[in-house]
Amino acid sequence: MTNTNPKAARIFETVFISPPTLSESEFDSVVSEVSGNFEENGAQIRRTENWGRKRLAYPIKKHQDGWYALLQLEGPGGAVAEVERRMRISDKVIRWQTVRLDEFPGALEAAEERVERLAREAEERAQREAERAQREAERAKAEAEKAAAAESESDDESAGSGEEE
Amino acid sequence: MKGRGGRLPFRRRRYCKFCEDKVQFIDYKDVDLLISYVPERAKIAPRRITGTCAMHQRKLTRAIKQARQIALLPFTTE
Repeated sequence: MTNTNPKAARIFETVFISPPTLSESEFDSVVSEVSGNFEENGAQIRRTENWGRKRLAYPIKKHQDGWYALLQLEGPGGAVAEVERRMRISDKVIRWQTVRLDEFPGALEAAEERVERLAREAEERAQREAERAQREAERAKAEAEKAAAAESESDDESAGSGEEE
Repeated sequence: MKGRGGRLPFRRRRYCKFCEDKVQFIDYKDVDLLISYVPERAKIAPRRITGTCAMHQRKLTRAIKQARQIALLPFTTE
């Protein structure tokens, strides 16, 4: 079942977690650092996903949440071993998990589909936002017009009362 | 055997949702999907409750255990 040709590059997927004490920019640099490590060792990064801060299902190193990132790469197993070695040493990475995507039938496809699904959902959300924003704008305009109408009426009234004095 | 328990997630007769959708691979990253198969105590729900078929239950179990490793799912709740 395992499609393994020793000459072919293997496709891996690594998810890693960094402590929440890092700032967003610090985490971004960790992500690029790890990506760089992979590339230095002969792997090619196919995809990067930054999940940002997420709540952990259980405390890790006393933290309740952490920075998540996903790296999808293509390369030799040796690259993975080396990068894992570095992650183990670094205190910027507190958890990681690497899986092979070419090992099980359908794993790659599932990953691809997931990407498409996420893109679609993002689009739908953006569209809904746009519609809502439009509705807000129209409502605001309607309110403004109503206010203006009310104002002009009261103007007539106040003009009348002013004369009395 | 003990009497049937199960007022756990859902009780399907012999209906495996994965077989229905012809799913080949269950992604550990798919937390929303996985969570529906993990009730209260965070233990993996048995087949007789969820109705999944043997093959998919195995894949599901693997995915859940993988997700637990990176804290996307809990090992236990308390």
